[in-house]
Amino acid sequence: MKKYKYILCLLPAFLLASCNFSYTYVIDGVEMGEADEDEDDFDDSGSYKIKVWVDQKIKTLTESQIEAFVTDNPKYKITADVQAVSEGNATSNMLLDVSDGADIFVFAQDQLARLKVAGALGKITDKFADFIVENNSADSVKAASLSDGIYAYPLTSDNGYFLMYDKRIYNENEVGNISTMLNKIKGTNSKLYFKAQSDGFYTASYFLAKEKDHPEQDSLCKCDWDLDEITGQFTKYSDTFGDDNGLIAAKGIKEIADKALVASDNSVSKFAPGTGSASGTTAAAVVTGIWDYEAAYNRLGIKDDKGNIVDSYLGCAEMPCYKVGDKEYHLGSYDGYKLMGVKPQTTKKRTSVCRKLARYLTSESCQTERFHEVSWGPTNINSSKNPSVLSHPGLAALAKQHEYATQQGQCPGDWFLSLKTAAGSISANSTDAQLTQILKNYKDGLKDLLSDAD
Amino acid sequence: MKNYTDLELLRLSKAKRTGHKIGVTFRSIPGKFKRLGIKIGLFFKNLVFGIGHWFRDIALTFVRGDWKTKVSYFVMGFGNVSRKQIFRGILFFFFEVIFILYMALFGGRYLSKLYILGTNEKTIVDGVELPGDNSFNILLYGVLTLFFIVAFIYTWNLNIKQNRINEQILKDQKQLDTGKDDLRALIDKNFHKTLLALPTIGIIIFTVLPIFFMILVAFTDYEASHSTFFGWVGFDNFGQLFNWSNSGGSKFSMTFGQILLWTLIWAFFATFTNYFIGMLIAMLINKKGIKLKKLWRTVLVFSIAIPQFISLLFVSKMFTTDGIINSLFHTHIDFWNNQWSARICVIIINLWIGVPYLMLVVTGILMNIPKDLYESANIDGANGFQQYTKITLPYMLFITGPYLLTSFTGNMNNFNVIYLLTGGGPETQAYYQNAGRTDLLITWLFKLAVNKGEYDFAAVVGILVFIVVAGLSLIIYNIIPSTKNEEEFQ
Amino acid sequence: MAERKHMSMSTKRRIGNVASYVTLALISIIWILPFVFLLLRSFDVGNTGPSSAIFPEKFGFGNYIYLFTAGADFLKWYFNTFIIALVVCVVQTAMQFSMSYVLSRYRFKLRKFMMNFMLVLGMFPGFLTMIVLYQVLKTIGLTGANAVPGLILVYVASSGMGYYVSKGFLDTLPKSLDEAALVDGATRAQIFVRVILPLCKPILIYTVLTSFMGPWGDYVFAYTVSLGNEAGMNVAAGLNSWLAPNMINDHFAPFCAGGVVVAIPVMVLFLFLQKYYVEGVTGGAVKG
Repeated sequence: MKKYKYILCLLPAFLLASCNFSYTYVIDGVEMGEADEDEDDFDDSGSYKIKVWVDQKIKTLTESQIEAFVTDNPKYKITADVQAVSEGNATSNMLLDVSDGADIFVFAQDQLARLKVAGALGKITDKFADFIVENNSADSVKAASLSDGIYAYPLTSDNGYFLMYDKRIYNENEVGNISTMLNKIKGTNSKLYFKAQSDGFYTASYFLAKEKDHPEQDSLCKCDWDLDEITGQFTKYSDTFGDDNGLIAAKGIKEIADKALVASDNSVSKFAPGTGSASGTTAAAVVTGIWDYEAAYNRLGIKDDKGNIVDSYLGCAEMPCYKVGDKEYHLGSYDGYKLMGVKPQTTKKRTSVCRKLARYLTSESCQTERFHEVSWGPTNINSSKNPSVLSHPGLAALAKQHEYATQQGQCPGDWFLSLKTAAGSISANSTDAQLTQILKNYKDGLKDLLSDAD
Repeated sequence: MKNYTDLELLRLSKAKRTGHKIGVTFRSIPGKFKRLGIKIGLFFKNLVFGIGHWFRDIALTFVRGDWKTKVSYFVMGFGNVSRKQIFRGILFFFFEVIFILYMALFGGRYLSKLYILGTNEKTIVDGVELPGDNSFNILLYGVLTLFFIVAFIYTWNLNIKQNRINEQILKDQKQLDTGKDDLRALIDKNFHKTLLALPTIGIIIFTVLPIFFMILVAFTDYEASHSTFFGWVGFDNFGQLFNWSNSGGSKFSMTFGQILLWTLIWAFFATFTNYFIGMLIAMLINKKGIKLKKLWRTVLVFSIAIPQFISLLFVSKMFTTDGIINSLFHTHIDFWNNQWSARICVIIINLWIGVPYLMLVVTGILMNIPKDLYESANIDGANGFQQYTKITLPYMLFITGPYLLTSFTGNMNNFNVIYLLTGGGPETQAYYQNAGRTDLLITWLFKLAVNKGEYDFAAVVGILVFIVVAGLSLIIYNIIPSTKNEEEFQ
Repeated sequence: MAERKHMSMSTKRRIGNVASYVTLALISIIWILPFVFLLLRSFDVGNTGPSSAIFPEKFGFGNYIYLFTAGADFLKWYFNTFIIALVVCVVQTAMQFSMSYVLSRYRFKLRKFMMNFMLVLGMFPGFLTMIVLYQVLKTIGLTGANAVPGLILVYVASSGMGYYVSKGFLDTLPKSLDEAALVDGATRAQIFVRVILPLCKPILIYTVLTSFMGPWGDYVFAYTVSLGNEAGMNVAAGLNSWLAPNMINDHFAPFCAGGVVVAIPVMVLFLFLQKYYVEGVTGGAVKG
């Protein structure tokens, strides 16, 4: 009589059963290694399938580096599945599903705590930790650490921003001051490309500014967040962005609120081409990071008859100054690092191999190689001393900016959104009272960002 | 208000008549609400009584049935097999075996943990993960198991009902269906069940179950930061959102209210601007004497054919301060950073997406308007505008009334247009956690869930969205006169 | 007098027509301009990033060549989407039509309940279930590189919910057709296949068309299920990865080219089957 109902009931049963078989398999598939940590005694040879997430730009490079690792260590048979996943997506994917995420992945340092709490990172101990401390700059190690230890391998030191400009429009002396820069492009088709009003990461540069020529002083403002590293909840903040010094920054931002002169973007493709001409709005200068260096260099490249780039109009400089009242302030920035993480593995053997692989991928040789290939700035002490690294115009500008930069700590992702929102509501003719109100609203909104009191 | 008879009504001036009609409509609203209330009440009454009847039937069947029926209470399908319905009996029995096996091996385990969602958290020791309880899986498989139990009870009940019916049939000295008959019925008498089987299973597993799961999530503290270990929190999430316990709550409820308001405004404008402009364009194209009708239509239809993630992303870039639009006119308007320009822009750009669709709909309907209506209007000397307001518009509104309602609720959940154009921005300090001025409830929910990993709050907002949409539809469907009767055409 | 009136009428009409043509031309330009811009951008090999210029700096086919060479994963994404769209349009049409047919032609106990229930289900915001569906797919191993069958499963599974339009169409077919065939001794299945199906060509084509178009535009769910694995992405998820901050500077023009290539099959199909599409949406709107 009711045939279809039997089928209706049976099908889910099979489905359920099959779901559960695979689920139990995962639980029961855990085997614990017995051996101790020592590399030489601990036999971790064997074949492994390792999933790696890196940026598209270094995907092929990473594949060949892993091959090199296997050649050096023939006791491992590693089938590496290298996938191109941007740092932002790597974080969100890991948070969505650690168990299906990559074994080794790259992420931006401000995500460290979130990833640790979500169980996507384990504490790195013993000789691996020693290796990290011995080989990398102190700041980068700090960026990879939480209060109780190191959680990731420093990969690049260049996740901050600086100024790229078109040498046809500005000379070296003109890029020191925003007013000068803006005056020069008044009435032209060129704009300054600066996301200070559309991305909190860039907005912060105004608030983190230091008095010109006084890099030793504290930045104008500070905002520190207290993180409960067990629960991953932000419990407290101390903020001066919303205080009197913040008003200085806010007044500075008024200057760039003129949409005729400043575009809220950071695409270096908006530079006018080095050879040939462009129509539409073009960029006179762009505030962006080293990841755009090559594209900018090529865009502004001067081509010979055969179309080869022989030189470029690209100039790199530290961030400019802005003037409020009679004082000049040097725009600050965040020192940002990219880190390589190893997901907690199901077996001790796998952990050991993944750690060794990550250690290798962040070692001097790999970092230097990466610099040559995609000009990513190294964290490795030796590799940073490499002459070609030191002479790289982009990295040099970043190094100069370093004096005015602030080490980025852990903060809620939405804090940048708050900053952006505040900056976005500043217009060229905002009164001081309006600015104060904006800062007050900003400060009031911060408590929403604290993790909901449970 | 005075009640008129039909005759009196005819004698009134036109304005008064219209006024009267509006009055009647509004006066009938309370009555309609009352009827709606009664309907809902009846539903629950029937539910309770239905359950009561069911228990009585089960008990009576056991008491009055023969021994074969009684055994069937414990060994499903026994009655069928012993009455020579081998095929059915085996299916029943097979199902029971699977159910028992499932419960013993997996189901029971999850079910027993469902009330607390796991007790030991997974730990990480020296980079090695020691597994613990996975609350997500417990909840998911717990829910699956609950569904399975319901399915089992349903089948068990079927099994008993069959015994009752079979006893009756045998008592009447008639033949029972054989397995062959059963199979045959699948393509004939029960053909609809064959057709429905797959679609229904699909909906249950991939829609009903996930929704049920997410409703439960609203009562847990499931967040990305501890996605495998969480527990029940009761109504805490709702409480936090609406200031029952938390100081941030009032801002949240304000934000919810503001976003809801904008969602409704947006849905209103998105629906009606599309509707009227689409209708005008369709009429323009269909006008007598206009050539190249097909070409005009095809040009407009382009915007349906190109996937929105391309066209809308591209258009959103066209409107930036250094985008094509500003370059073209040598202006520097920051369309997306001002709440009003952003809101107006999304409504206008939505025309670009929605009008062609409406144009097609209207074209089809326009052709169905009886021509003689226009002819007699022509004879009466009505001009184009009068013809439009007296014939075309009422006809269209009558025909497309239900469609307007569905597109209104559809627009409330129009994720693509908002997310791809503005991402919800411009963000404002006035809103909780800087939600945006063009955020719809649906994009806000998406941001809560995906960007912030606050699945529990997203689930709460999801439930609220459901309540709003369902409530609106329920009221509107019940209050406006139904224009369509299902059986009308058959 | 009569002559003059006639003249003025036709002049009036002519002016009216000219005005209509101008309006239509204007509307068409507004509608088509974004595509023209998109097309122009896709041919720009001089500046492959975002640009405010309307015309390409240097005209060339480089971006299209880039799409179809081994360097880009575009072909794989395109193939994935094509497979998904193909399977989905067949299965979804079958399931949706079965549901509509039953709800339109049969009267059984749970019918009203099913219709109302599906209506209510449709009011839940779909994104909520994304996380659960992801986990369900993961348990049966259909995420990451195997996202294609997983996506198909999800797109197809709930297709019964979209029964409205076809049911509206079926409601207009007279019941006497079925009854006559029943009298002739045909089984229900035979009636369905031989009597009803042939009459439903327009609505079937409409369903195929819409379900074929759907998978090309889904980004959010497709990306989630692929979890960053290029092998399992559809075009929307894949092309969107080119808009990431570190990619956009040299991938915006290829993105536009990809957009054009994606739009072409959908557009061609659409132009050929426009008639049926109009019939479908009209029917859908009328029956609500």
